[in-house]
Amino acid sequence: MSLHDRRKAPTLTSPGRGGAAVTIDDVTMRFGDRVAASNIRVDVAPGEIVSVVGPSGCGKTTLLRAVAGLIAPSEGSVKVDGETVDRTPEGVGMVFQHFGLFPWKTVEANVAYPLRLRGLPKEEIAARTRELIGMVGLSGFEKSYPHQLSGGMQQRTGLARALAVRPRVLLMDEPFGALDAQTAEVLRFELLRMWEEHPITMLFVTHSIDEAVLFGDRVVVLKGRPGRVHEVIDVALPHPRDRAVARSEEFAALRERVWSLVMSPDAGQAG
Amino acid sequence: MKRSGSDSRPRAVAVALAGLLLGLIAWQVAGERDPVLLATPVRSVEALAGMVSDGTLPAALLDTGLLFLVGLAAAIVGGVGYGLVLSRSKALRGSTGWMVFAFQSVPIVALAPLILAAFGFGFGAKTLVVFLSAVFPILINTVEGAKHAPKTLLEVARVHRSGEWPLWRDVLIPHTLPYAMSGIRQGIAMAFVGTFIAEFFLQATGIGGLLLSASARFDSATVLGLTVLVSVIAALLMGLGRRLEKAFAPWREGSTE
Repeated sequence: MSLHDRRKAPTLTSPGRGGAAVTIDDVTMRFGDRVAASNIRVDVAPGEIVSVVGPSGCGKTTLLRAVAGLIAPSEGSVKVDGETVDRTPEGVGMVFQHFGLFPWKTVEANVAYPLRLRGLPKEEIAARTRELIGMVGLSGFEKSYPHQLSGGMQQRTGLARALAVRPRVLLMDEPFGALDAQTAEVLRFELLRMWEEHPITMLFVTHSIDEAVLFGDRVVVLKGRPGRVHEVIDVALPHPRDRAVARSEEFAALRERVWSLVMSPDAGQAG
Repeated sequence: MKRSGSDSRPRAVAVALAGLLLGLIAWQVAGERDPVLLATPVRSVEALAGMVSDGTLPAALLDTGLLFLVGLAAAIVGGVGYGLVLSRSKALRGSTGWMVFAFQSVPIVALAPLILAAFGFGFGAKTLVVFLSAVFPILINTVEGAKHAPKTLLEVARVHRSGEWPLWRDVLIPHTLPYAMSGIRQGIAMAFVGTFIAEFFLQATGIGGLLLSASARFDSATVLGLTVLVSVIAALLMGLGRRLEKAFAPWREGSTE
């Protein structure tokens, strides 16, 4: 399936405008004297998933936050569909490692949050919230507070909230990093299934090499201190990416390749 | 925090009542030995009943209650409001924050005569004394709460392009409310003390006034009766404060944070 084919006609929860292009153009991030990331260039095509891996402290989360408009690059620029990011652009959704749910809001209210901020009519908010909650498999838990839910269910809520903005771009900040292995595995394949139905641009930061290869059309391997692009690997695995793909020899080979790059002495892996 | 199950509740009430009964018996015994210094509970109840029938006690209660409520309400509005503003404005924090922390340690008892003299001994001046007694715990708790608003949630708001008012509505106020409620619970106790301080000086009014004049007459039955009445009201108010604190943060119940 080519990239172009993935940009299907918009449906109720899919992005109205299709995925956006993300351009990370020669970005350097500096905090005081410390250089967190240096001269990073990554182009993400519309509807493409790019995974970012690297040793801890290589600036991968910093990079994601720059794309989200949460911190400004010290040099270079980030563009979404050609527009320079100075605050979070319209249609960019983000999934946080620790979910980022409002503990005082129910599942329903957390998912409806972006819709309420846009001032949509009440009936529309209710309808879309119900649909999103159904999509992530949380029907029946609308009135639960986050602390009453398991980690997996909390992240389903976080995912539904990110999808509520009908994103052109999804920014994933180690979304399954705080979950137990089994829950993470289940959610990975569910997210992949959702993506096959509504493909959008995704920038996927993770410390799991399996996850990077499983999701990525390309895997950007960063090396540490300061973070630079070490290598970009094309992942020519077939779609849909299901469990059969994850068991294939090609997958194992790619996984080994990324592993050796991340672990190579000049990647700056701290151990 | 320890929470008592529903089955242990009647037992707790029984224990409390037994303690009260023991106290009353001890009081009655002591009172019979020294009836001048320590009037018996029976005589104290009689004294209270007399003040109810001649209307002085209800009138005094109304006076005191009004002073307490107006002063406390002003302290809540002022404390929570300014606390939230202070947490969002670096300039205000820098210029007035230190004053708040310096002023909170000044005993209001010492300032009360001055305040009352300066503002004319009327209801307004008395309210100011109650307000000053109660406002600092409320203000300080609110500031502490708002200061510790989770960074992630502030980022969530920014990622969703939230404006300043929605940021308050969705993040700052709900996060700060439980902290403010702890402050308000302390503020209730402080306002209570402040109310009596305000009533004791010069133009004695309300329950404080009744206490003062009974004390001057050496009417120990009235003094003790009023004191018990006041402690019961105080205990009820504290219970109410704790209830409020819980009611305003349903999401905290069983929270694992």
